[in-house]
Amino acid sequence: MTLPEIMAAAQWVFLGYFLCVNAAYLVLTFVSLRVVGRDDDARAALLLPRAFSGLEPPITLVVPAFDEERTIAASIRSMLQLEYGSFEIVVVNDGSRDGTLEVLRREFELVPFPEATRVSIQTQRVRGVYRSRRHAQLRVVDKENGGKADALNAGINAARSPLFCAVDADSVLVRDSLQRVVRPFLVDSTTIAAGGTIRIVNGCRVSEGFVEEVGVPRSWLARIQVVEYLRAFLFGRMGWSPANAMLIVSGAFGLFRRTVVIEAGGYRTDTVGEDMELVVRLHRLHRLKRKPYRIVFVPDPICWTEAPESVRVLRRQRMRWQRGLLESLVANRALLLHPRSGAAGWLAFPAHLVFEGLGPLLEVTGYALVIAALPLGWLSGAAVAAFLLAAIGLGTVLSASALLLEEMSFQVHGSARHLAVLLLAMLAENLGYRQLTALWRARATLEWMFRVRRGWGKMTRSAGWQATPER
Amino acid sequence: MARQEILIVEDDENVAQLLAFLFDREGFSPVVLRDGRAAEDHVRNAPPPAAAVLDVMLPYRDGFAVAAAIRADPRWGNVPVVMLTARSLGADVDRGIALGVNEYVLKPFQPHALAARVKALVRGPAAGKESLGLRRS
Amino acid sequence: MGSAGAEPFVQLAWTVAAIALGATAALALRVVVLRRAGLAQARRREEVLTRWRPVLFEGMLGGHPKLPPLPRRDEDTFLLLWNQLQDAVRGEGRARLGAVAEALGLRDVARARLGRSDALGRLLGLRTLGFLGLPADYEEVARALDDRKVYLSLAAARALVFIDPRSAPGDVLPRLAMRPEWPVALFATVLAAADPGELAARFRSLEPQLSPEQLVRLLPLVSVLEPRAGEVIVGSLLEGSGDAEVLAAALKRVRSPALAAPARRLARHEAWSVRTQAASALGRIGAPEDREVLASMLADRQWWVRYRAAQALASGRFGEPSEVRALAAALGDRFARDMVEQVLAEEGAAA
Repeated sequence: MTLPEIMAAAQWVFLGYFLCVNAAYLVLTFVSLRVVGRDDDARAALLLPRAFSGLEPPITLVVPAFDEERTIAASIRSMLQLEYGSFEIVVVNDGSRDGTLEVLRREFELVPFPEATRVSIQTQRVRGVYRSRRHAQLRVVDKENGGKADALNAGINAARSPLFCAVDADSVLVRDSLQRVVRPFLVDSTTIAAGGTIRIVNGCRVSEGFVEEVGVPRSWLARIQVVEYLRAFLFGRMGWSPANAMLIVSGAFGLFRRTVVIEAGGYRTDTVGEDMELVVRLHRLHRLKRKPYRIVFVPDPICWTEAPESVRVLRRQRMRWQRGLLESLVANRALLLHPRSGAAGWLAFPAHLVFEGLGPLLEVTGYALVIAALPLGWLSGAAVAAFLLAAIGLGTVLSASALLLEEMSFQVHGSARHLAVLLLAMLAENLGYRQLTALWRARATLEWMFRVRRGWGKMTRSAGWQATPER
Repeated sequence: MARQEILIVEDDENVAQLLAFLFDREGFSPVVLRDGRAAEDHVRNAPPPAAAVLDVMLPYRDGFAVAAAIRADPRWGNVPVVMLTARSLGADVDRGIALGVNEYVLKPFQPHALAARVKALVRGPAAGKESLGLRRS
Repeated sequence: MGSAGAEPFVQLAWTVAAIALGATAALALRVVVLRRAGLAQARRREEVLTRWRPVLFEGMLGGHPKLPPLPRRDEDTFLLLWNQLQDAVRGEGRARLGAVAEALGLRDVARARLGRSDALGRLLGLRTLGFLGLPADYEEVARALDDRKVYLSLAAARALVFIDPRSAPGDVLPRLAMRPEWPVALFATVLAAADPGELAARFRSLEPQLSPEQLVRLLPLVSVLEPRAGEVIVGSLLEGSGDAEVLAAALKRVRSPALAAPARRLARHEAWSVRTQAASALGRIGAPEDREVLASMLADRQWWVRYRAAQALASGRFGEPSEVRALAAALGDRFARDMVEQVLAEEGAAA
């Protein structure tokens, strides 16, 4: 075959790929739109009078903390104000080098507490447990540094409730977050995990740990991320939930059944995507053993987090997420196309692997080839223009659907000005931002592939903490 | 004669407006706040009312914190305080009593009975303080 | 320049681009339209609330306000307000709201909603009929118990309890047993307002037919029954059941000293979940002699059994902290000693 013929074939392949990806996401979109329609009911349900029957399952909030001396007190104080019948808070100080423990000790009147050891999951050494004199429901576990996953495991060990809620120290919640996220557990006793969309807090007015007024961020980078989160995280999860194939529950806020997670072995400490890896593992273990279970998406806006405003931090974050995704999938590859794995192994896993894992590589190659084709004379200017417009256009369809979905469910961004900004951001997202993140993700994928080739199966330990929030 | 003020701190919009309507009808001048922090600011900056009706579950600071702020303030210290709540946990009641709360009314409540209680407290705070404890009005 | 294969490709690409961009524009337009409609709706809702709140307040407090017209499109907002006010007050306030409802013909409005396809409408209809409390509506509301959406069944149950507290248990309890997706906690709150005698009787007659799983699920209901009736049920389960889950769940409900004997016996059960609950139960209703039994449980293999036993001992009913410490020390078991220290510290912190 001559070079021009190869190029022609390649164009078809890439265009075909773009069509496939977007078709798949459109399907997820339709499913999500129907879920939202049904979830209108969930909102109606919340109109029932709220009284604490005293029979709601108690929840333990597990809050891993590392070097958070500036913000930890305010965060915990706001968590104490959550409206829920019965909950306790376990803060895990993961060997902070700064004054985190001191701040906690001072602000909450901590006293040492002889906690009888109960190690369900192995962790780094626990140096001591403290209890707050002022707030009986607050405990602090002080341990040697072991990373976020390790800290979470220590918190799980110390938790006394049947359900635990993994919360980032800088997650901004709303007063009824627990009430909303526990709903799936009330309605279906086979529920083992529930989580929702994380929303971007940049630009919102936050007061004492709660969102007082929703706003749009000032920087375009953050504005684009708002739209991106809606597109990637609203569909990507809501669409999969009815099929019980939701592979990610965000580490920023997720509710789990404690015994199930302990049985599964707790969080893995050797991956950067410990939140996703746990959930995929839960799917794998339950599906392959044919144990009934449900992992449910809760669409209510119940958790807000800060998005990176600098390109450098954003890049690190996205590359880390990409690596986490690949590590999570590979660690649980038994789920892929297994006869018993149902929608999780036959639809969600392959979709994530191809579209999220390998996708960026294809996207970048497609764009690169097409753009290089112009000066090299393989393609006419018209062809290049057509391809680019098609690729970008497909992207904007998805972004616009995301905004529509948001409008139909929780109109979080209230004012007309906000909407206008978001519509513009939607365009900007597809004119450069997506391509840039695809580039980073492609690079992360390549790096990961080569690293893995060198030491097959051995993943590097990541005891460090990340400055940027979880997905 | 100038109307006496009643401070109402309640975040449920319907209940807040109902209480305002109720006390206005009874001849008072209601001041309505929607969260605990605004209430604490008000205690610091404004002259004391004839009585205060506080919901327990409020944004930012709960009703107990507001009650404590009232009792701690030299000008507000003797203002009769009625707590309105949907929870009837024993610990809550104890906490209220310890703070010097005059009455504890459970939601759902009877509007006329609540108004009568408040009027009694306004007339004779000493008499009101003796009737500590849980009341179903 | 372009090869022979380029033309169809370019055509397709242009087509895709055109469709995609067109779709984007359409979606964006739809978003804007929805937003404007939403804002208009919100404004209208506020107007309705501003108009009706003073009227309903006046009515609740004994006045006879002039009732403004209620056009159909405002009905949902009004119903929500009316129901929320019903939730907020008791006594004559509720009765007077009912009078206003009658003047407005609200019953028909509510009944019409039961047949609607949207859940919000059905929910509002059910709640309204519950507060109106007319026996003639019982049948219609009872039909909603079988709705697929759990919270509508819950609203129907609540409405039935309001309309006829004596008949409601008969319709709600059997379904509660049969429908595993109904959250017992929420239905228990609802049934707490039903006729206690009827409720207890129904539960007792239902109990023999329940499987162990169903029994375990339903046992939290005992906490809303009157104490005597609950005791009888729990007692019979403690004597008769061989299932560990059922025994553990029943022990959780033990509140009366009359059941101390079975609790004592079950402290030696082979399943640790049963032993744990037995320890808690003895902590609640045990006799001073049970101190020895609890002390021996401090040395149990299972953390939870030790924990609950220590809590029971630390409750103060079995001696001073120093005595409890001495008991633990006498066992010569390090775990027992640690556990007692932890629990005493907890008690101390709570004080």
